[in-house]
Amino acid sequence: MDRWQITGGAAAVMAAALLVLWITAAPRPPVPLPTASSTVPFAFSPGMQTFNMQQGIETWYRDDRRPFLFRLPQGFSAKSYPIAPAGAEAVLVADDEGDGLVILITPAPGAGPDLTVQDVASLDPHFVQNGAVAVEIAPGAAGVAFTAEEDPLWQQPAAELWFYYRGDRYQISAPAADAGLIDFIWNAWIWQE
Amino acid sequence: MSHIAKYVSLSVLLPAFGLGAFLSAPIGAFAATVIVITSNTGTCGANCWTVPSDWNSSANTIEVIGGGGAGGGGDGSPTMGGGGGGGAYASISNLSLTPGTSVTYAVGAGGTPAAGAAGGAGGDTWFHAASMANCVSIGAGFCAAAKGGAGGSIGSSQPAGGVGGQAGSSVGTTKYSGGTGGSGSDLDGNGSDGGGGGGGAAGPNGAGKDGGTGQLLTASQGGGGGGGGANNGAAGNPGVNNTGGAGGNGRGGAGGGAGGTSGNDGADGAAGTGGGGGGGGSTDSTSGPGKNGGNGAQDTIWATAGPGGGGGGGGGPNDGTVANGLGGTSNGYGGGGGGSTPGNTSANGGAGSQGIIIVSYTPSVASGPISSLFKILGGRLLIQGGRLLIQ
Repeated sequence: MDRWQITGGAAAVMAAALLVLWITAAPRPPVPLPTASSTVPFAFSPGMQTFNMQQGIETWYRDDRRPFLFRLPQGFSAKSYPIAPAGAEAVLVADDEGDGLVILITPAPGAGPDLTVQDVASLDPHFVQNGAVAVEIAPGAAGVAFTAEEDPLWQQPAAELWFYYRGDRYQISAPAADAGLIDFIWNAWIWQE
Repeated sequence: MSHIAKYVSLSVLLPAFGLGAFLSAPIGAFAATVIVITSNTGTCGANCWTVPSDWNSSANTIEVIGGGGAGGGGDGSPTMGGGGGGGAYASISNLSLTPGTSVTYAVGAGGTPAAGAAGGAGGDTWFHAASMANCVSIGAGFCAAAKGGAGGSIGSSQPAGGVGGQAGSSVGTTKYSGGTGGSGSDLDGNGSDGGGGGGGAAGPNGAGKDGGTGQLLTASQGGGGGGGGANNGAAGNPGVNNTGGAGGNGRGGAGGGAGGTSGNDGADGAAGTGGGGGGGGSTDSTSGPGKNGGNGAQDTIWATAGPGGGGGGGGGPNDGTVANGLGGTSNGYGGGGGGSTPGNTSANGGAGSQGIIIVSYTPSVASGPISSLFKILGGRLLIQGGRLLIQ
């Protein structure tokens, strides 16, 4: 009986050890964010610059390589610059003062449909993500919006919206003070089929 | 390593070229700026638009659509209303403009309907000219202009629909006519047959199509004609007895609104298709009103805008004793309104929809440091020799 008791205790210890080992060794599933929102969370920050649109005259940026377009705030323009690697581009959106945002688009075949906080951490371990929120990019695809404590591009806190769409990774970045610009263009962003 | 280099590296860009590396493709080849003008209050005042600083005289397109005509508004005489005509389309390319200068333009208004009167004509739309006549005079090398559709007439028997804006009266290197409104119908003289459907607006894919006629039988009441499809869609269908005619489909082969059956309004064209609205059905009771025509749909080809299908004509009341079968309008640009069928009172035809101007261009190639154009505090983006340089 004692032997059974000892054997049973050892088995329990072994099971517990195996459980710990399984928990620590098994691939961790991605931590799901709350239900994806259709809007980015940058519209509500107090003191943020606001952006206007002129009624009756709309200016749109239309990408001719990829299937999207978005409306620009009054006084802003946008241009696309091909960058390496092949097929990548940088879209610069700026006003006359040079303030604005950058959209980096790089081929990412096979990636997606979702881009998560873990993906951001994997792509950029230096980013400190705050306030990450899942954002619905298209039906069945979610990206992540967050603020970075310091984006090296701007050397200051920045607002970011990253996502995958049809084999490309999109990284939209603006200084935190211009975070409302991301909100503006995302509200007027159209995927063209 | 600079901050910008770190950022670029993390963006999977650095491995490809490193600090200060050259980028290999020419600038600006993959994008366009699209300006949608729907108001006569411009960037530099009334009917005034300022040429952007990055205007490219070698890569641009100007597209214009005239306003749609309103449907005729029948009265208690009784008279019926014909549908309004759709606006014409015209375009030109590579217009030479100087950045910072101003351009005079006008967006044609939609035709205004009135009860007991013919529909108002749609206004002409032009760009880079002092007037429509001025544009006709100086020609497509300097301006673009599109004729608006005529309003639908009123009258007994078969009042004519408004003629669509004609390509021959417009100015451009590519031109298409708007659809003509369908005629109303009151063959038995009791004011209870159908109004005509509005004509569809023309677009870059082709002419707008004609609206359908009100029902032509001598039944005591009848359905309105369907609106015509926009932008090379299909013609609207005539009303048949108590049932309104179906709207013409959009160029994709679908989207025309169903005609109203007796006692029901015609359906709107399906959003995004450019289909015409369905004609209204006539009443299904001995004293009920005629039913309204559906609204034409927009063929959304420019961001959130596009040419519109015509509105459906109104259906007739029973024996002309009561009102009203109102004509439909268009949810897109340049569509004609449907004619009304008032019975013993008067009723508005559908309003024509306004015109539109689309200015598209590939921004000109920038040169010199981009730092004056764009602040990247952690690094510098330069343009040298038409290429983007990151340092």
